[in-house]
Amino acid sequence: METTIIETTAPVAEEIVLIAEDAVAEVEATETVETTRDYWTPEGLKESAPIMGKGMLGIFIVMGIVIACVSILNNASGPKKKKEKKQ
Amino acid sequence: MEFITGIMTDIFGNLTFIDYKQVIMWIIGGLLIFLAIKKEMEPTLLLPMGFGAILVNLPIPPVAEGEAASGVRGVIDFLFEIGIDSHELFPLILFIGIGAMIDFEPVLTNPKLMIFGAAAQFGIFFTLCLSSVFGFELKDAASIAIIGAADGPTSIFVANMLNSNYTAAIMVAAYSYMALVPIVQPPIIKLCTTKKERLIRMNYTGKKVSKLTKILFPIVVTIIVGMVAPDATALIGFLMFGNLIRECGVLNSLSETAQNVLANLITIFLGFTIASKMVAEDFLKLDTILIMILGLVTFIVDTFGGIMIAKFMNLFTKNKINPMIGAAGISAFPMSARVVHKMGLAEDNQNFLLMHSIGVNVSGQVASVIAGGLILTLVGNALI
Repeated sequence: METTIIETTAPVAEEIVLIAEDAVAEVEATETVETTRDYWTPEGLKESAPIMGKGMLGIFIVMGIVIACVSILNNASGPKKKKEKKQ
Repeated sequence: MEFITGIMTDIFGNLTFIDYKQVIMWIIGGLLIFLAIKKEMEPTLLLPMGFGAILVNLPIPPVAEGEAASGVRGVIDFLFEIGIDSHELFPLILFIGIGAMIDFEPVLTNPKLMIFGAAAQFGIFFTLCLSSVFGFELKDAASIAIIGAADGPTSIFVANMLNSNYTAAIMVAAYSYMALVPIVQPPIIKLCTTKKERLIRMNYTGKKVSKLTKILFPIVVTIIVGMVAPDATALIGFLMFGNLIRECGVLNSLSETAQNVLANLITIFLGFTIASKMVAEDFLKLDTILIMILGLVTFIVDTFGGIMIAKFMNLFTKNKINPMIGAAGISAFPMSARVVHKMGLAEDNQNFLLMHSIGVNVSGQVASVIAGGLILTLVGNALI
């Protein structure tokens, strides 16, 4: 009877040990990443440089549209001023 | 004897939880309070931040895992959760107040000034590249870069939306450098301009802008920005709503409330809430120092960008522009405009640059929000 219990619980225990080992390895890996963050990664430019280009271009385009809109608004309210001057 | 020891343990038991890092944070908190009171640097924000930094670093028994913090930490954590973490409520409401404070008239009379506001966002994108070279993840690099928006609510909004690991340091850097604009900008401006350029006088025509234009401007800008950079819709929407309250002419008491009471109230809560992230273990890291340095770089490059576009435009324009006004595009409203005005007067006591620099300054405010939205969109796309 006792032998049967040992036989059935042994694979479960092995599985638990494996899971625990995996968890420890995972934690160790996370810690390694945190402590060994690379402080010099020029390759990061490949990802960020295009964003810089698109971002600056985007700002100038949007501001250009806003400038155009403001000019239109100013001109649209222009004739009123002329009338006032005439009066 | 045992009785006395028991009492001493009960009363001073908490002292065993004191860590040297907490003491350093008390000193930092004290420094912020000193700057707020003695130097009058952004006192509405630095004072609650400084006090909050001391408060959250008091030796409170550690909270067990899974258990919610109680007492003062609990309240501050709750403020952070509802005010910043969940829907960026505080920065957005603060933007209503800021919008109500801004008079766009100088820029509406001379819309070309908006170009300087756009150019002065260069520091943001430069720092994005620099941060990524220094090994920060793209989301963190973008969040650090947005310190250059020189605009607290935008920095908080973007850092939180990108779920940055360095939100606290970014918030502290953003507000500290905004307060330090009068110290940071003048040497850069002097370094980038010649005496002759600083003496350029600019006439202010002072032409009137119609009320219709003033009312339509916030609506039009909201629609344009909302379509181009949807992620910035909330920011620009709240900012422009505040401005609409100001300009509509029928909500004067509401406008005054937004400018004063609402803005002050939210700033107090915001300062306290930011402080909740200034816990010693999270704050005292090498990365925090690096973020402070990168924050300074972004302010310097922003200033440089604004000045250089003014110099470039001078190559083609008949009426020369004083390049110093480009520096006001950094957005830190209204400190940056005042710095430029004072520098102009220091060179020539008849050179009044205030209206021009205010125009550039408010353009910078709009441009920084657009930059924030574009960062969110572009980085969001890159991360997918």
